[in-house]
Amino acid sequence: MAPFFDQDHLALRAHVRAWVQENWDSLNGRVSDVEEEARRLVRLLGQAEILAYVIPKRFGGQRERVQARDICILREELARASALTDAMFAMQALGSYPITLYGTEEQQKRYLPPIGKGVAIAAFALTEPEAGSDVSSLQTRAVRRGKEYYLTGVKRFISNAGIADSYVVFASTEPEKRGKGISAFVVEADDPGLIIREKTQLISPHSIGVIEFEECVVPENSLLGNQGEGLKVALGTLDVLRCTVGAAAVGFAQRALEEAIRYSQDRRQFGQALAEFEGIQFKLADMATELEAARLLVYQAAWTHDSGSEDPKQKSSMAKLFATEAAQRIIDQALQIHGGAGLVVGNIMERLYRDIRALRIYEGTSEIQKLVIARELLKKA
Amino acid sequence: MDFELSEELVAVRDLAREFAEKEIAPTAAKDDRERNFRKDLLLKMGELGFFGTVIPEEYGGNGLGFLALALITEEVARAHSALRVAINMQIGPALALLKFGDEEQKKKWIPPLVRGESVGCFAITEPDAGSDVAAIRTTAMRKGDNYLINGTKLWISNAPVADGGLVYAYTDKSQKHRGLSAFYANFDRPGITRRALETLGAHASPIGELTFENFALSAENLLGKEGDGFKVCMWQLNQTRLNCAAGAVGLARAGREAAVNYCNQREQFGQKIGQYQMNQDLIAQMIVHEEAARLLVYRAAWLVRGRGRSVRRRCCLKNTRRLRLLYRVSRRALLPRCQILSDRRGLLEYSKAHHRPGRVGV
Repeated sequence: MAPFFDQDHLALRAHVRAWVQENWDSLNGRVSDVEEEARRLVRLLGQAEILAYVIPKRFGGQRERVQARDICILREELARASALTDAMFAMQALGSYPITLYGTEEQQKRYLPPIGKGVAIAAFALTEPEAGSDVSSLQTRAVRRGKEYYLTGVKRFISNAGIADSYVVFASTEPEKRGKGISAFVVEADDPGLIIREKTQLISPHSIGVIEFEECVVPENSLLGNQGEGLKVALGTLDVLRCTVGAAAVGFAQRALEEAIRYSQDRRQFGQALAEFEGIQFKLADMATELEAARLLVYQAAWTHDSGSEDPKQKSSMAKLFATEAAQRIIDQALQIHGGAGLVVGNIMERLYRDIRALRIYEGTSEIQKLVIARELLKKA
Repeated sequence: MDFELSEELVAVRDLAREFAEKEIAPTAAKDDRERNFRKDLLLKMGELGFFGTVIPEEYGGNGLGFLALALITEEVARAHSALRVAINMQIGPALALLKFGDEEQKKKWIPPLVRGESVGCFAITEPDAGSDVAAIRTTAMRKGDNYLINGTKLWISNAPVADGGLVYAYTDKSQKHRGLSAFYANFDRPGITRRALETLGAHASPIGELTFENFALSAENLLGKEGDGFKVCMWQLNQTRLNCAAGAVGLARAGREAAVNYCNQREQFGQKIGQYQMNQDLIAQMIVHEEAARLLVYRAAWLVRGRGRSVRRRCCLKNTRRLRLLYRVSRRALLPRCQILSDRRGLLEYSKAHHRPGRVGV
């Protein structure tokens, strides 16, 4: 799989694949307490120096500049083993990249090194009850009084709510300006007025919840970027990480394909292995082909970002849309091949079937990606 | 390594695009309607080196490689899908000759194919043999120094117009597929009759039946040894498959571009139909599938050059996906037009020149 990669990417892939293999049982254990498991996984990823790929070298990271290709490779390999491990890795990236992009030297020094070591957990708080795809309608307010900002509002579907040490929070400083009045802040877990309202349970185990700011006081140097630049901070971050969601989908789909191949060779019906039936072979061929196309789109988008040769936005949207939708189809087919066995709670197919679902929604739903892609095309024509 | 095209390849693509837009596109609908086989375009493409990208210079080619061929084919198919068939009819026989022919055969037959002077074809399919190549019934009986070919080949692209081509026939039926042999022959000799066939689309790419009755060939026409036919056939199909896929990308692109343009022109309920999310959804799906398909083709083309061993699997992967996709994409591309275009003539032209040739490729 050489296109779009340099030698060191291939080395990273081999390295993380081996690490995943060694830690397979540890990544795949039964989860009784999601938060405890989430904390453990972040520490593990930190110790393995995998998290070092989400922050720049100056702050203890691996590379001068954070690379989309590294994150894609890591997410694909981690997702192949465990959705929660991938999610924890991805959240460290999502919660730190705004600071990497727009943080002051002081903010970067304070937050990035512990996130990269896995001793601090990061979060990204954008979504609200009334603001999802329509980001600029968010209602959380930040009012400046003297040398402090006072935040008020509710954020929901916030990954790592309650276990994070720092939250990048988006709030409106000038509501009348809508999108252009949004600003970004770094809020620390023990800042007064930050309240965890709910731990939300999803179909796939994930540390997520509702947080509320009740006159939450933060010092003025918590502002990330300039006042009114919040949307730029959010979109700049999401533009880079969007294709990595596609990479995670590729990892899930790869696992599903591997499981389907193995199962279809073991299971016998009508006197032969399932894999001997053309009906099953066609499924496997379609799955493998879609997977390959998804992978190429993801790597192309990541490479486009890293090389800076053109605006990666449209390619990233294509990668996320195609890879997540394809992965859902591939996993559905893999479960079909497993028959009833795939429905049993605890079976890998049952798990993947739940794990993949969120990826078509978070960081821009498939529908939003389509709008981005189509509008870009209509504009060019 | 990445897929960023070298300057040389960009130049090749630009040349092909310019040629396709200036020389092929203006008459595409007319050529389709009137079923014109454009030998003049074949000669021009030959002159520009389009058929020589996978042939070394000593046999009249330019050796630019499979990626160059894929880029050219995408551009040609975008302008008129029927003409991408013509490309494969030249390079298929030329590549088989290059790989399995002796020096004399290569020198004699490859350059005219590359120049587009000799219209090529390959005759594999029969009424009862298609995917199951070994079921071929055409025989090559040895008589003295000659082989007498007897049998019927069906759905052979270029059959009505070919100057020569590859013919597969059994020299020893008892050996099963190991008794199949491959011949290359010019068709300007007695014992061959042709019949044109009507198909769903690709009307500017003639197709038909070839019947051989005591069609006499000599040992000079045999490719490799007796019994090599099956091997030659499988190898040859693995080469041309990639380009079939590249043509599909061009066709998909044509469909998508047509749909986008129309979405920007047509207004309903006070706004451009491209403003409706329903159409944006269709457009997004078209471009994403097209891009995925293109990457699979480029990757396969890149592998052909890099590591010969992997070619077959990549080609198969790409082909199933790509052709299926093509159908999906071109169908999708057609949908907005079908639904949006009340101009029946426009729809007919579109469906003839684009949709139907695409269906054949699946």
